[in-house]
Amino acid sequence: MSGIKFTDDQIDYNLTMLGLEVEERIPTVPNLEGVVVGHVMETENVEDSDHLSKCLVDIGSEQLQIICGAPNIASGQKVPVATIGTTLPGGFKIKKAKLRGITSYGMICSEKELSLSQNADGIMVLHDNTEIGKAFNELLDESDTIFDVFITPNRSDCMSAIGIARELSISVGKKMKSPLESTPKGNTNIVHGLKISIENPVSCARYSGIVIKDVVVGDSPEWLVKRLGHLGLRSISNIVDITNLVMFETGQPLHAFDYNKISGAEIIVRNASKGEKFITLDDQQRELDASDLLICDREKPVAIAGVMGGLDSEVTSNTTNILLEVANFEPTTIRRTSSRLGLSTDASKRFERGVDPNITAKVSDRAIQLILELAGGTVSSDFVDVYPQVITASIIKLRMDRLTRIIGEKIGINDVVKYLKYLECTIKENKNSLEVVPPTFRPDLTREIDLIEEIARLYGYNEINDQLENSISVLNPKNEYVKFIDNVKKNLVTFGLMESVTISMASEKSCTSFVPENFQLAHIINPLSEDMAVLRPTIASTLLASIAYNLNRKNNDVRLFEVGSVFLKDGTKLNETLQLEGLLTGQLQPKSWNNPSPSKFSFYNVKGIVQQLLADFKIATIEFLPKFPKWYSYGITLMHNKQCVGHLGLLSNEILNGYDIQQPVFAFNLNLEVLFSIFNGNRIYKEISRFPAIDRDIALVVDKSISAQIITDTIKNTAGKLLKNLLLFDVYEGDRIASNKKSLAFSLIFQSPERTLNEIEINQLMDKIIAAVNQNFNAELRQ
Amino acid sequence: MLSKILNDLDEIQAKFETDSRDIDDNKLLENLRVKYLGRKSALTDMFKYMGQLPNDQKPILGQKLNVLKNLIQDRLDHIKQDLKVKTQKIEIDLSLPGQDVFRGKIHPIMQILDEIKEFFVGLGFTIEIGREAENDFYNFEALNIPPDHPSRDMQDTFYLHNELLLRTHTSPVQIRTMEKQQPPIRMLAPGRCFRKDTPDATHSPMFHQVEGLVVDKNTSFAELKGILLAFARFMFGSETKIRFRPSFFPFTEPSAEVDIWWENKNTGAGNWLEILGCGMVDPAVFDAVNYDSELYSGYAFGMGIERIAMLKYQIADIRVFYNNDIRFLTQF
Repeated sequence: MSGIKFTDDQIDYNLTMLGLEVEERIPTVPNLEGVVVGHVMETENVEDSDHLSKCLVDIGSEQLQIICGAPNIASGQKVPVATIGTTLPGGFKIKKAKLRGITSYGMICSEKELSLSQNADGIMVLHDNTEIGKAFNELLDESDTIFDVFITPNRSDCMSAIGIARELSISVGKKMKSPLESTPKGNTNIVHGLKISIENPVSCARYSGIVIKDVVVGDSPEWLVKRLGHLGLRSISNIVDITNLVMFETGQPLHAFDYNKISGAEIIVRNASKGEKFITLDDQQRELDASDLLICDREKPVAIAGVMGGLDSEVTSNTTNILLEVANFEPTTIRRTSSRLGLSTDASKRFERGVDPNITAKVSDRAIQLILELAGGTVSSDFVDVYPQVITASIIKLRMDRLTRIIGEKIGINDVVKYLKYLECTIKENKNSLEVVPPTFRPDLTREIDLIEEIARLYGYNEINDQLENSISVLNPKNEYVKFIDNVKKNLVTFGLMESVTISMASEKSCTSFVPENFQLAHIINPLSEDMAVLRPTIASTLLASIAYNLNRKNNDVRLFEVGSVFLKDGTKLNETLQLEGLLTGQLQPKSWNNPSPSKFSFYNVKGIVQQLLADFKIATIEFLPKFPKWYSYGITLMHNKQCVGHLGLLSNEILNGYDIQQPVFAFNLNLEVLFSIFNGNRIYKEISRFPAIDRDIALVVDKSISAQIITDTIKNTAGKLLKNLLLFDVYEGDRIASNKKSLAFSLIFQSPERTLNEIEINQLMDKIIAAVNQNFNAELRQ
Repeated sequence: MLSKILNDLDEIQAKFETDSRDIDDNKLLENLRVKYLGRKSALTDMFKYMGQLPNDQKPILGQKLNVLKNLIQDRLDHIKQDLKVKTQKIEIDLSLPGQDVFRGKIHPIMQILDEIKEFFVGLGFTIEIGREAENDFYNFEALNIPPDHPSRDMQDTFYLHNELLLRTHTSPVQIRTMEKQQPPIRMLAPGRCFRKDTPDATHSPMFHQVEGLVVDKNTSFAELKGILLAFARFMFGSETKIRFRPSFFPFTEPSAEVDIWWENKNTGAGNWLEILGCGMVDPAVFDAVNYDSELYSGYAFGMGIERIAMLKYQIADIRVFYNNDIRFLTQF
């Protein structure tokens, strides 16, 4: 590791470009430029304030008036002063400020404000003989940099300083010299030594232990406390700190037991029995499963293997003899236990990704040396290392032509060999292929493709030439369904509606009213919150929240639509349907000087939009039935044969109240899957008639109970092909006709594509129409 | 003599044609009239030849003079009429504001998606849409993410029951597409995805992804690079710079993340921003759909649509997409 110097930028770039993304660089010591040492000359209380003091502070170059709120301020103190223009580590910029009418020219800082510690109890007081005016940076240690590196799940080898150093060496074409060299020298003079046995060698490939007696458990030296602090760890005691440090150095988790609590000087690695209970060192009782692996002494469990030690055998300040465990556990076993118990530790994170089984002894030696150095004691047992089956990596065959094909260009065999050697692989060269044995610290390398990736990674992705030769193809047809949906959306946009997107999860409360009979809501087992506990049964259930959001912000005229999936359960079956929903409220048109009170959206506007949409997609076979789901006040249902295509109408007050909406909201809802199955995408031009049209208006008086639809249908059926257009242009009820009657006024346009019509035949046709509605519905011409 | 006179008249006419252009006020029009029809005009002067010509030539000149005089008079009248219309006082107040129109809009996420679709559809990709509620097999196992694998931690998943979940990425559509057809494949799958992330400025428990997959006999990492560079330039401009970084996805190998060089237009300061993940389809994925990984290779890529929209439109908070404030929607 020694011998190569990197700048911070090089480390950042080299690691990132090797796939070890540097997410953040944090200085170990904050940059406090602009902060200087000041001498508090005088302080006096600020009038009308119980805590503010007006201070006169000498910073060498000048004397500043500063208002300070700290209770511990006193004249004579040497203090850190942030001068005007300084930006503190938290981003706070010091400006001239006025407090209680008095100007403050700077700030006297606490340790927390300077990011030196969490201590915010008053200002930081410096040693009396600190030089006045000195830049505060000069009082601080030299800063180092912490690199926060994102390690992808495949790179267990990089969850350690050595692993990162190895990659950095590779980045400059050097092989790292490992600092882990020697194996522990046990003490074989002890007659009744430590006994270790493994009952489940699949879950525990290797277990080593060694006893150190007469250690002094105490505080760690400052360098160790600091280093752990940089890793985000709290110092606990010298022994525990050493195991943590060595884990971060090597990637191998270690555990120290209080040896006096280990009964029978014996360690047995076995599976737990179902329901077995154990208290981990965080003082939680854990109920275990038969798949959990336990470390036990002769009588009882002492640790959950690879996850956490036990409370009873924890190293405490009273501990004098320790047993140091360095072992290797199988990833899946550890992962299952850790995720079932919801207990993820630095150890479990490493084991579940795979730890090199062949560094156990060397890591143990490193830890023993540190323990002897920092806690004293003597090695008092043999180094007991149970490793029933030595783990080696399998041979992987790497074909050079396969490499070229996947990468898209040729990388010379000499380079390939060079890269694999950087990775500490063993290589045997054949004519067009290599036989490669990867190192055991890279459990992710098991297949040819894994090696190809490594070679590409070291060659440099950005060195591979871009190619486009094969990129154009005309082999696939377009997806008609997607095209249809896109066209429906465009159509609604031309009607002035805005496409929306809402989160498809909502609260159970807001969704219950939208569930049709015989269906149930789809619940999320592990929701983020109650607000997102179920999948929406209709788009309205989430889109109404957007309507409310707009209304609350005085956007009173809102026309939204959304396309998305909705979910309903039919017993155990989950139905996911793609729907379109539109919600409209407020005015039909913007208010303007020539239209000061535009009319509001009505049922007929919404119905009109849907009818236009259906007409544009040539969907003519839809019936409008006077039925509606329970969340409407009134509305109609669209049916095709016996299939429901959708519905539209006015949403009920009960629903709207749930969203605190006080104005009417109209909705339309269409099932896009059904609609797509019946739409007609063909567009064939129909010639526009060259012959003149004849128009006629009639007003028919009928009973109120007769629907406009049936009169319209009757007129159309009677008139036949010559009727080009039929428009219901007026509906009248009132004084001028009988009270149980209404008048429907129609405009009829007749035209033939082949000839000029004559008045006589149209008059005859009109008579026929009038006779038909009269006969069937007692309709009379309005006089 | 007659022919010279007629010639002079032609010249007068030609000169009039030129002079009568660009008359834009009544004063110029009056000057023009005096010049051509006034008592001292060249045309009036020509009438004197009527007395000097032999009788048989008089009607020829007379007709010519009259035609020209009428022509000039008509033209002057016409100009006068035009000027009258142009200077007439208009009686409606044109300064009143035009009437607003309620506009419809496509959601900005979908506008970005449409742009992405445009690029890839042009290269022969077919759009595929899948289901949002997916089986564990399609979302994880078939994508080389077995149970108890640490890479499941990369995506915190919402479950509907043991086997059914809300898809955490659009990648299940890869599997469904490969199951229903044989190579060659070129598909693009956009859609909603779900991850158990607490909402904040950059996270949403629901977001949109678009996934691409190509499977053929001769696809390579070099081609993947070529296509994605072309795509980045299509989306962000022809000068766009991108870089590929090694990364890890269980369903691709080699895997890469793609960064785009992003410059602040005001300060000129730039940095690399991650925009998509990609890689060569892992042979284990081909095994899951019974494709022969010796015969076929493929590449896949996926990106977050919100992320691209946030970059392009300079939106700092992802949550603004899902409020659907019409003052937001009208901006795109």
